[in-house]
Amino acid sequence: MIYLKLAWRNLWRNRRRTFITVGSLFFAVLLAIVMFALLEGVYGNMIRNMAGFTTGYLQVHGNGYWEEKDLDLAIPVDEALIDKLDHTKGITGVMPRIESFALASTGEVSSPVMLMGIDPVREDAVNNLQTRTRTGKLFAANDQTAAIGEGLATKLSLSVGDTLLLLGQGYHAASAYGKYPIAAIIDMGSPELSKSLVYLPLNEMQRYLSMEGMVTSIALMSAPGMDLQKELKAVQASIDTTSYHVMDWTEMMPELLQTMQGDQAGNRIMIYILYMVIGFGLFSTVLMMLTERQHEFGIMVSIGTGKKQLSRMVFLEILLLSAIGIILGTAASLPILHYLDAHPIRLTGEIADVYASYGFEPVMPVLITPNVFLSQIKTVGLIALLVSLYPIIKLLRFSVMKALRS
Amino acid sequence: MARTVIDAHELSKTYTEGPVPVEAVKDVHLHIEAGEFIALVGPSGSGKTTLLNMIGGLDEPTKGKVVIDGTDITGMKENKLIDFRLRNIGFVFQAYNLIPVLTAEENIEFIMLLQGTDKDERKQRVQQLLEEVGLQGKGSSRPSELSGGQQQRVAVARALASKPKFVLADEPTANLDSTTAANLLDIMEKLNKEEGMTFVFSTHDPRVIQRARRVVTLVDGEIEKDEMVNEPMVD
Repeated sequence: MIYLKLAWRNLWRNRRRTFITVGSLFFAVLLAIVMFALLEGVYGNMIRNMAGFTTGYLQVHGNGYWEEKDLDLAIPVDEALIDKLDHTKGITGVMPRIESFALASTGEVSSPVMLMGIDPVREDAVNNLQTRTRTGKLFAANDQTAAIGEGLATKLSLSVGDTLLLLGQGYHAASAYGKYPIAAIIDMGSPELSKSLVYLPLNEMQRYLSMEGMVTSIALMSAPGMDLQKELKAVQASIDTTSYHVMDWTEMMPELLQTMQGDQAGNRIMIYILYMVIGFGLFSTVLMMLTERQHEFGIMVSIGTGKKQLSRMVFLEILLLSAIGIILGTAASLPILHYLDAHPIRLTGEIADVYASYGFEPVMPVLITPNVFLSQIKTVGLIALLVSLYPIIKLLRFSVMKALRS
Repeated sequence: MARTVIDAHELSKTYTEGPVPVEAVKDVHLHIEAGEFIALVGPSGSGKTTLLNMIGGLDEPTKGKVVIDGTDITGMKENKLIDFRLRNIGFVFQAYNLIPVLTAEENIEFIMLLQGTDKDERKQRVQQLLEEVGLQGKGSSRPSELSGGQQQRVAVARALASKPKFVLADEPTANLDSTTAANLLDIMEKLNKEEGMTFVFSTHDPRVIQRARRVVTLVDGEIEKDEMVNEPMVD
């Protein structure tokens, strides 16, 4: 307790220096947290957009389906399985789907399209299809209509109410043919999906492909920032893995992961530079503190203070100094992050076009999870510990006589 | 016969840090008995502070040994030596050297905290020592709020807090005016007479020398004279 008291009071011997050091820590922690939350938010949003529309964060499908993409490897689906997945810990969205390809025609123009049979309610809950509907109204589960992307509507000159002809191959090579009025034209986010995606109600898709009671995959979503591997294990534990296979998005979209990792590396360098500034700032304070108090340390050891006790006191000083900076920086980041969460930065101009071309929404949302704070707190804490090693080593080795003469 | 508390035997110290080795203390034999009030005197550079530092276990002799109350501290491991100092030797330095962030009370108590003395005993002894050095009511003052003389009195109380076998005082009156110095010496003399506390001074201050009962004069690192100027205090 006496060392804590000494450490605390020593901090305020040179108030100006303490304020400057705490200030530098404060701004560095604040900046690091906001930067990290933005980076994580942007990447999280990117993954969420991609995964929501395509694979899901996790996907349950038949063994071998991912490699073959063959309708014959579809899996039977019933309420019990969906319910089980709905109640799996960490899973926030369950979207049974059938994915296939077809030739779409208006009678005059035709185009290859990607077909997706969806449960409109479940899909809307994840991908906000109602909000993204530009014209018309999204179909209901038992309708026999289609929804298409804006790009495809332009390509085939289709409007709501026009009829789309679909021709493809169904389950076990059955021929598949359907004629569907366009119920809605949707902004798919990604230009690629916009030009090629056709949604059908899942029931209608099963009928069209002659595969009632079956789906090709069940896409699963979870809350942003959750531990995907933990959820993957939870899903594996809740289903029969001899019939079903579970994959996460990093396995299904490795190219997205690689792009992100490359991009993240550059951004992280910025944060590392910030950490270096923090480290050197703290180190210079510690260095000055040690030099100024050499004689005092000498006196303390002369009268019987052990060098370990002295090191403990200085270590506590550095820890307190860092803790004040970390706590204040973290506290100040909270309102900023809450503001950015409610009002995410919207990108405009060329950057927005670049985002759109990759199929991402041109916004920079923030991700507010405990990890955003903890990772920065841990890193700055680690820097403080590393910085404190120097005075500890110095004090354990210092010469009392030299200190007394200083 | 009084107990020997300090026995310096063939003590030498040579500094080799500069281009030419400097012999600061040469073959010094010094026996100090419990209850003495002794001054090591001599001109600047005569080796008195070096000798005091070696007796206090702060500096390592190049040759010879220091035995404190039967324990040879020469070559003792550093951690052990720090603990030995804590339990056996009280220090009073020239420039007060109190811990600036602690109050007078806390400065005195600090030594007892290091020793592991229990709280009640600490509090009681702090009050008793403050009274002995005439600083009742000043316990909660920080060193910066005390005069030089008051700070030096706190330093004396701190030196006595651990109940040491002796107190080493290096030029304790150097920064004090004559009245303050006289007050401080009165306190130390009283502690010597009434409690039998051994005081060893390194000084060239005539005010201290006048009060000392034994004066050891050092010249060029050697004892030139060792004389009893008054009857020594015996337990």
